[in-house]
Amino acid sequence: MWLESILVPVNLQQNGRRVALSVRKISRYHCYGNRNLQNLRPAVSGKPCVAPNMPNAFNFSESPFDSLSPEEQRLVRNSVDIAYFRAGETILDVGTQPTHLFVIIKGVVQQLEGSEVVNTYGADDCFDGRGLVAEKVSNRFVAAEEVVAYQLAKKAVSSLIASNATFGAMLFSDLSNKLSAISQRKSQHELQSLTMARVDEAFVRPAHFVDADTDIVSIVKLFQAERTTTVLVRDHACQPLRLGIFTHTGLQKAILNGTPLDKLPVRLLANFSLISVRPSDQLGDALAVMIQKRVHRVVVAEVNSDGAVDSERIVGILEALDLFSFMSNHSYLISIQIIAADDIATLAQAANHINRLIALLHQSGTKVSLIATLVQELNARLFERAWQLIAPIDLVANSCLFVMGSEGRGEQLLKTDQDNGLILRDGYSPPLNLAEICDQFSAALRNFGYPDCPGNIMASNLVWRQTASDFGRMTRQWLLMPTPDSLMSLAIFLDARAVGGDGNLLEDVRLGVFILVTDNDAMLARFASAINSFPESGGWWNRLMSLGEQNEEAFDLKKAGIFPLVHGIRSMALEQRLTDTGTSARIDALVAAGKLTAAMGADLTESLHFFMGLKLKVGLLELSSNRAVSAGIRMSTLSSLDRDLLKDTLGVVKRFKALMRQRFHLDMLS
Amino acid sequence: MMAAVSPADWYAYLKREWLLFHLGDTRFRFMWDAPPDNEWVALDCETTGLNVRSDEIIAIAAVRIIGNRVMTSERLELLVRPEKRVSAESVRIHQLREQDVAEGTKPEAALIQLMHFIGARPLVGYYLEFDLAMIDRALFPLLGMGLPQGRNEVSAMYYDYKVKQLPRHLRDQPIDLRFASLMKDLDMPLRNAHDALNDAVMAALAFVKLRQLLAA
Repeated sequence: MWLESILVPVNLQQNGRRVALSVRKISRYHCYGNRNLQNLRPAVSGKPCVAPNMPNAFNFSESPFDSLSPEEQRLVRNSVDIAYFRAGETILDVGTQPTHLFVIIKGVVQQLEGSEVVNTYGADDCFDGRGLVAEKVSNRFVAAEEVVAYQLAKKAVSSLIASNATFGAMLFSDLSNKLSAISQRKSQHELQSLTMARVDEAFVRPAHFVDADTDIVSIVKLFQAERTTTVLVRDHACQPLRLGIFTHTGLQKAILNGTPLDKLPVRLLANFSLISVRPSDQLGDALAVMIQKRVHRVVVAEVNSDGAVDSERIVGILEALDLFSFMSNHSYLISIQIIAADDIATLAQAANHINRLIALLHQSGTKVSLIATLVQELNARLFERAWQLIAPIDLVANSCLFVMGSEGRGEQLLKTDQDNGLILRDGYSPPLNLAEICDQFSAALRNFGYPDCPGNIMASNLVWRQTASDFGRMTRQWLLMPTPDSLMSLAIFLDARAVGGDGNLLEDVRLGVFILVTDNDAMLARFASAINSFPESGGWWNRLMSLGEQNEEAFDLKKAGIFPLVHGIRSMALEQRLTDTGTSARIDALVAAGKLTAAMGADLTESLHFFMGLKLKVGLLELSSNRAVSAGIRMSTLSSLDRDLLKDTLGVVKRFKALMRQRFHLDMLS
Repeated sequence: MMAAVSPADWYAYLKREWLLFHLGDTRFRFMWDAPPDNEWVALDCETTGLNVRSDEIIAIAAVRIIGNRVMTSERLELLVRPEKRVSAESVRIHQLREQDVAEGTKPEAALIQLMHFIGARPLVGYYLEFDLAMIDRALFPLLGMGLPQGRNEVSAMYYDYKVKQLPRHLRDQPIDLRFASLMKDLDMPLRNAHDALNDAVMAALAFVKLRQLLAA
């Protein structure tokens, strides 16, 4: 009915204005009628709109505002205004005295130094904290597109800085400080998240059952055979069925009992008051139970409605030692699993656990460098064990299996590809089926989750499987007659790390390369020039962000960040003939040798670790959604803090590249 | 009022004097002062219903606009205690229950605060006609008249802007003036509607942008 009433004047089309007003009146009514629909509407930024009130809708989940207490948040809410800027309008100019901190609601702001764009800010980013404290703006800030931004009065910002150290640190600190401020924040959760893990996520040992009439000697035999110290005892003589536990500590009592052990039924010694936890309980609770009841192990089982252990649904036994090692160092369990593995299938299981360990450590906020070291050790053991299982003993003794590339540097967290090779001792005649053995090894790695190397850099390839002297000749050839491919091979080889057999074979070949490098500047420059092989990153992010979200392409972290950094350091390490293979170890050595400033070294290390962490975060996300790990990163999936840090770290890489160009005179060759 | 030259100015002058002469309470003369440059006040009310004669105001929100800035730090948010009951249907819309508004200010006190907050600044709002009809009715016992400030209707500005953009032969077709569509078309952030402060802030943002667009 009301619909007709507006349609009539619309059709009459006498006076556009009047029609508009009547439509408007209806529309207000219409809005009321459709309130529920309005609630379903997504907020403009694509983020869910949490708070109902606009100044309350200030996004406190973004850095640095996520560090504020409720009291401080209220201060922000009460001192925030909203400003509008047309595209192209200058928001802050050089030399002005800033009065506000801006937090962008929507739009893009560029920071210009002269005419060069040095930084770009998007939604939820804030600027210009530095200028606010310095009381002087040193760059120009221009709205690249229409901008709506919160502006937070300087007075409020100052009092926030004064009352909240984390907030101040996040807002102004240098990159290194910024990163350590985050890790500090994360460390608060570290232990907590491990104790919050579910019991069945820990290492629950399988339970072994015996009948209550079994004699002690048989039980000890079972202990031996199953390498366990605990059995669960079923007593059928009792109705309903009674369940108990007997452990190796009970053996003392058994001996003191006096009855011959092969005549002594376990019923007399077992403890029939079981202490149990549920698989869904938290580890912290399990620990509390153990401490409270003074026991070293608990049964993991579902309970019946009356609270008693359900004998049909026993998951296993949780030992205190396993619990502690899970909380302190989960890797210990995996390494035991690797060493004890008797076939490739068991090893594959352990390899799978490594991924879970990485995810767990990452979630719990462990520093990425620590994760990397741990994973490198585990992977090396995994390779070694696989090689031992596949290759005959004399082959293992007379060769050196090594991994290269990121695995060699200890910077590969999630398995991307297998780069490995094999050096045979001069004069040793390998088994005839050597090719087959190497193929088997590659297949085993594939089984562990390492895809084949696209460049075929694998021991199964003849080029990467040679005698020591042939290998030495090949590497020297790479150096003396360089082609882009050979320099790439050389770069990968320089990161080689022995994982099986005689490591001296590898060191000898590497030494051969180092001897040749001496004072060969032109060669070094060619080697180092690869850092420019991907187009200059002069503001890729500006490009990306100004494109908007629609035509966003995945950003290749490896090309823009990791490779230039790693390769630059590798070139310098080659020049200095450093035997370290890890990038951060190389950086430390270069700083010690005075080839890098300490500040630059620290920034580079932090940047590398940030890149690795980011790659890990994205990779884990991809794994959890069952996609292959790729190198691409979508900017829109990053939090504003990560985006901020990415900008900063890429800035570090840019500075480093400039340094490299200067050092190796890269501009001279092209 | 010195040099009034055009007939329109004369009319405005006479109207002001006429209103001031009839003003019930002279404490509110300041509303007829010359407004500060480049300042406005965006306004929104939540009511117990849509009937201008019988329904009552239960929440008033106002924000000051200075140039291109929406001064959310200087805002007025008032809950008003209505004399009658709050209908269940309207509670669904604005989510203010009877016990919420029971804590509110008395209508008269709320309006006095509002008038002091507005001063002589011109008003801004979406479908201001409705909000002002509600306010003016409540204000009548106090002033003997409604709010005298200038009015900037966001939907009318939007309408003018859209019409200006269209070629002449297309100007007769109706334009979608619903608030959500308007905000979306202006590419302005949209927050939960039917919260007086949110609505006022959104109207203010739309006004700031439309002022730029119409000036260009």
